[in-house]
Amino acid sequence: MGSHDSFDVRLTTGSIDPELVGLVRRQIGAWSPALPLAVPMGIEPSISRWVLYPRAVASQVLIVAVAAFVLGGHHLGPLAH
Amino acid sequence: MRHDAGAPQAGHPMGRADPLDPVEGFPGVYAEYHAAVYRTIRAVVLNAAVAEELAQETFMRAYKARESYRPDAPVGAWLHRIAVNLAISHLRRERLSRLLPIRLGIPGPPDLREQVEARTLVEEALGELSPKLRAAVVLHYFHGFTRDEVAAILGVPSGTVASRIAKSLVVMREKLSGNEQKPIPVRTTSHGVA
Repeated sequence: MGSHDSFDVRLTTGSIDPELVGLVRRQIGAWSPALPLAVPMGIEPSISRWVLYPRAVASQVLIVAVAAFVLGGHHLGPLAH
Repeated sequence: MRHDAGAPQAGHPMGRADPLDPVEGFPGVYAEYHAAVYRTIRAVVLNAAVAEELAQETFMRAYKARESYRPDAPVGAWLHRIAVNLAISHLRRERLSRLLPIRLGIPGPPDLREQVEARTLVEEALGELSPKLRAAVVLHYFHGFTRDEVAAILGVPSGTVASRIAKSLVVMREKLSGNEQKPIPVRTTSHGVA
């Protein structure tokens, strides 16, 4: 990159194309992310899975409850007799 | 250091909360830097949809690698380094995915960059640059990182950054002045097209 020494001089003196830089800055500044500003889902299972997916939590609680009922029934069955 | 009004303080360390704290630290970092990281990536890949995905990926990676973050380093620079690396890796993979089918004799995927959106003259001018040059331009001229900071982010010497930035402006100016609409006049100096 030694062949670009003249560029370095212009950079340090600040005598470079302010119009073009302004155009570039305005263009880039006009770009905004379309997604809502929120922490990416799934980034932290302890947060996103249990806070962002209450339905999933509810369904898992239901599955656990049914499983406990069934297993409990098996265990209680012999005791009942 | 110069900063755009809408950009976060690029050299500002995460002082308000522990960045390792997934509840109090990281969401704040995400909120503050997401748009800035998105713009950097978009300037490199020149594709809005890809930039959205890679911005998310940047924060995912940053979160997973948060143990390696050093509090004395600016978090903005750290995030932008991840973002630029991801963007350039993406473009490399994309280029490979286009080349491989050609060698196998089957049609490759379409060029999404040209397909997705009508591009402005400035975007077209940015498109004339290599991804590394675009990264230097957005980091220096939009985010206001100094040459040394850009050098640290990109992992190249400061002089290389200066060369890339200056070369970028020359190429873009040529592209814009070569357009028939000529949105801005050409200024000449003793060095030629400025």
